[in-house]
Amino acid sequence: MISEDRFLELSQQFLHERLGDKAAHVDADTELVESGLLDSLMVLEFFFFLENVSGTTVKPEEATVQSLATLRGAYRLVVAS
Amino acid sequence: MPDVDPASGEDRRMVVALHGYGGTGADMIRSLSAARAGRHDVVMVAPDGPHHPELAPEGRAWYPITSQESLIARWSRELAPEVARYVEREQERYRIPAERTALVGFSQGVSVATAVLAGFRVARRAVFACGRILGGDLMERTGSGEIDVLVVTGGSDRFVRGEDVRSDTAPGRDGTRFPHVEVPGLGHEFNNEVARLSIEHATR
Repeated sequence: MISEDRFLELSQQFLHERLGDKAAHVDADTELVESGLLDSLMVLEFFFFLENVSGTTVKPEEATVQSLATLRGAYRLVVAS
Repeated sequence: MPDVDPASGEDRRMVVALHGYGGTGADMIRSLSAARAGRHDVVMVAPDGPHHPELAPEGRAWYPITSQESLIARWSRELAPEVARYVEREQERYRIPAERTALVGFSQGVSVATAVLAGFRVARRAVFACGRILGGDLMERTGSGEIDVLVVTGGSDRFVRGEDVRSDTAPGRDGTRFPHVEVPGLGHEFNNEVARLSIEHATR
C-alpha cells in the first residue's frame, strides 16, 4: 500500500500538472471541490488517478464528493478499499 | 417534444442519444440539435440514466463510477432491457422502424448502447463516442452487416484512449473492424464535431 506521504506527493504533482499554479498551495486538507479547484470533469479524472496511483479499486458506492473533498480524505478512501 | 415535421412521414429517422456520467438527455439533444441543422425529418430522443451520480450531482448516470470493466459490462447488460423498451416505445409513438433508428452513445452511454444492440433489434445504426465498448458481443451482428457502427474517439481524451477502444473491437469473423474516427484535439466531450459526425452517420 502506498504511504500517505507518497500519495500526497504524487497527488500534488498530478494536480499541479493539470491545474498549474492554481494548485501550487494544495496541502492535505485543502478543500478541492468546494473551493472550485476541481470541476466535475477533474473530479472524475482525480478519481481514476487515485485508483491508478494506489493500485486499488475504489468501491463505486464509496466514491462521493465528500470522500474526495481533500487529499487526506482521498487517501482514507484508497486505504479503505 | 421533439421538433419534427409530421409531413415527413415514412422518411423520418430517429436518433436515440445516450448520455455519459454526469450528463443528461437534454444535454445530448442540445448538442445534436445544432448538427441536425433544420433537418425536421430527424426525431431526436434521449432518456436520462437512472442514477443520481455522487461525483456529478447536477446530472445523471447509467451506473456508478468505476474502472472495473466486468461491472461496467454487467450493469450495462442489466440496463439494456429497459432502454430497449424505451426505444421501442418512441419508435411506436413516431412510427419509425428500427431500420431507420440509430443509437448514439457518449462515454457511459456507449456501453449501454452496446448492450442494447447486442440483445435487441432496435436500431440499424450506432455511433459510439468516447466510450469503451463493453457489455455485449456486437461483432456477431456487425460482422453480418446487421448494424452499421461508427466509433469516434478523442485524440486528447484522458479517460478513454483510442487504443483501448480499438482493443474492444477486435476484428469480426470477416476481418473487418468498426470504422473509427479519432478526432485530433478532442477531449472527453460530445462537442459539435462529434455531433456532426453522429448525425451524418445516423442519417446516411
